[in-house]
Amino acid sequence: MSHLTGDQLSALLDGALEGRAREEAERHLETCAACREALAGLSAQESDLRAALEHDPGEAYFDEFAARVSGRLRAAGLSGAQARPAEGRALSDWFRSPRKLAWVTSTAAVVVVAGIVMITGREWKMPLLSSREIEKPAPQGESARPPVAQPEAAAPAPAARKSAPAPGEAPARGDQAKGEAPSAARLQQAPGPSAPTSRAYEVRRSPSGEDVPVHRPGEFVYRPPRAAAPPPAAPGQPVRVTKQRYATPMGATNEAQASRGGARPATQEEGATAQVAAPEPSPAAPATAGKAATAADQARTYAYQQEAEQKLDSARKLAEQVPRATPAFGNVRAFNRDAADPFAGQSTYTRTTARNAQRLTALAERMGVPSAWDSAAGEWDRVLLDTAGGPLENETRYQVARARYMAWHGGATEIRTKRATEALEAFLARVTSGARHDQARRWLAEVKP
Amino acid sequence: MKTGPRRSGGAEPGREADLVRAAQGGDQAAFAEIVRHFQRPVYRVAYALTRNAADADDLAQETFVRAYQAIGRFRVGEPLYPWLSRIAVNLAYSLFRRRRRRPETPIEPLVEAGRQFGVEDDPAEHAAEAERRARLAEAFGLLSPEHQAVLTLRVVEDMTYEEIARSLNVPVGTVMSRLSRARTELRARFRARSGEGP
Repeated sequence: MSHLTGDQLSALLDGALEGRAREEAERHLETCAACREALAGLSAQESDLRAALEHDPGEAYFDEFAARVSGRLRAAGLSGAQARPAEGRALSDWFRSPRKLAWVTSTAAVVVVAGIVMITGREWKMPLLSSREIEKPAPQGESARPPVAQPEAAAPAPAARKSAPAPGEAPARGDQAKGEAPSAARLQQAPGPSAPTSRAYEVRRSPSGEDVPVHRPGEFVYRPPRAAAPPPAAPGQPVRVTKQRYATPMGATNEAQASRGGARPATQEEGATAQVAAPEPSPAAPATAGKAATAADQARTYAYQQEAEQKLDSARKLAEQVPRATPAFGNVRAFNRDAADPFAGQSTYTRTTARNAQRLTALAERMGVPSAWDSAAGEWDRVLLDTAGGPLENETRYQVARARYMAWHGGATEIRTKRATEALEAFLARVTSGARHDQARRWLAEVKP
Repeated sequence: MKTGPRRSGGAEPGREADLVRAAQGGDQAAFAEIVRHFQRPVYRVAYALTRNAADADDLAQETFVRAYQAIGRFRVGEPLYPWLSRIAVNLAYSLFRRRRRRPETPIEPLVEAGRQFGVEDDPAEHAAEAERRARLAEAFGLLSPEHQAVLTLRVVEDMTYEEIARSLNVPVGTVMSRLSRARTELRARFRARSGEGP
C-alpha cells in the first residue's frame, strides 16, 4: 500500500474512517513511520490551532451578554417582531404572509390587466412597445420634471420607511430592502412620457467594487445618492478614515448601506443569513444622533485599538526581557477579575480603553517592573479623559494614582516622583475619606515626605 | 460516524424545542435563555474567525439579533446550534468581504502571553510557545474564509461532519475534503511563515 493521502490522514485524525478503510489505514500506519509522523504532525497542529483560536473573555462578559443582546434588540426596535408561525399550509396562511399575499395580489393583477388588454385591444390599435419612436428621449422642453434629480431630492427615506416591517409582520428580505431605495428614487423622478421607461440606469462594477452608472450621450441617467464624504483625516491619522467602517458594528454598517440607498444586490451570504432585512433606522432625530454617536464611538475605539496593539506588543517584548516575575506580584490571574467591572455600562470606547488599562495593570503586577506600571498609568490617563466629570472619575483617578505610585516605587526618578505626586494629590482632592483615601495618603507620604 | 466529543454546550433537545417554540410565540425570556445556552459556543466561533475580541463581541451579538429576527422560520425540532453557527459564519464572511482583507493581528495572544508571565516555570519557553501559536493564528488568518470556517467548527467546536455539513450547507463529502485541504494549506502557510512544521 502506498502512503496515506491527505484526505485519509485528515479523516483518521477525526475518527471518520470506518470499516475496511480504517483497518487498512491502521495496518499501514503500523509499518510506515512516515505516515505515523505525518499523522502526529497533523494532531499537534490541531492542538496548537485550538489553543491559538481560543479566547476566554471571562465570566463577567457572559454574565452580561444576554442583557447586551437584549439591549441591541431594543435599540433596533425588534421587540416581538419575530413572532409568527413557521410554515403553514392553511388558506389563512396565504393572507398572513405578506410575501405570499403580495404574490397572490400581483398574479391577480396580471390576470385582470391581461383581460383588459385583450378586451380593449380589439377596439384600439395599441402602439408597439418596441417602436424606436417611443424609446427616443423627449426634447428638454417637453419634460415636465427635471431629468436628473439631486441626491437630496431622491432621498430614499420615505420608501425605506414604507418597507420597514410593522410589529408582528414578517420583515422584508435583505435583498428586497436593498433594492427598495433605488426603486423609490426612480419613482420619484419618473421621466416624461416619452423618456425610456423600461430602464432606470445601467451600472458597471468599478475596480474598487462600486457600482458606477454607465452614461451614454443623450440618455437619461439615474445617479444613486452617495454617502457624504468623510471629513479629512487629522494629521498623523491617515488610517483612521479608511478603517472606520471596520469598527462599525454590523448592524450599523447595514443601516449605513441602507441609508446610502445602494443599488448593489444582496450577496449570497447576506441573503442566507439576513433572511430578514436589517431594521430600518427610525426617522426620529434623536435616534439618528444616537446612531451617529455610536458610530463615532466605534470609530474611536478602532483607532484606539491600533495603538493598543503596538503598546501591548511592546509590553510583551518587555516581559520577555525580564527573567522572572517579582514574587510579590506573581500568580495574579487577572486584574480585578473577581470583582464586577465598574466600566461595564460605559461606551464601547471607554470599555475598551479601560479593559486594556486593566490588562496592562495585570501585566505590570506580574512583571513588577516600573516601565510596565508607566504604561498602565498612561493607559489609565487615557481612560480618565473619558470618565472625567462622570461617576467613574474617582475610580479612574485611583487607578492612575496607584499605577504612578507603583512605577515610582519600582524605580524612583524625577519624572515618576512628579507624576505620582500629581496623581495622588488629584485623587485625594476628590476623595476625602475611605480606605482608598487613607492608602493614597500613605503613598503620598512616601513619595513626598 | 464518531468525530470526538461535543463542546458546543446548549440545552437538552426537548428543552431546546420548547424554548424555540416559546421564542417563536414572542416569549423574550425564552429567547434570552437560548442566548445564555449558546453564547459561549457562538462567541468561540466568532472569536476564532475574527481573532479580535471587539469583532467577536459584535459578531456574537449580531448572530443572536439575526437569530431573533428569523426564528419564526426555524423548524422546531432541528438542532439550534448548527443554525446559529451558520449565521455566525455567514456574518464573518460578510465581515471579511467588507474589510477586503484579513483580520488584524490579534492583541489577545500578546496579552495572554503577558498574563501568564511569571506563572510558568520557564518564561522563555512560554514566550516561544505563545509566539508559535501567534504565527499559527496568522497562518490561519491567511486561509480562505471557507477553510477557516470548516476548521473552526471542527477544531474549536468539535462538531461532527454532519453538523458541519448542516451548518455550512454543504454535503458531508465536501466537509471531509475541505477539511483535508484546509489542514494541508494551514501546514504549508505555517511552514512558510515560520520555517518549521507544527
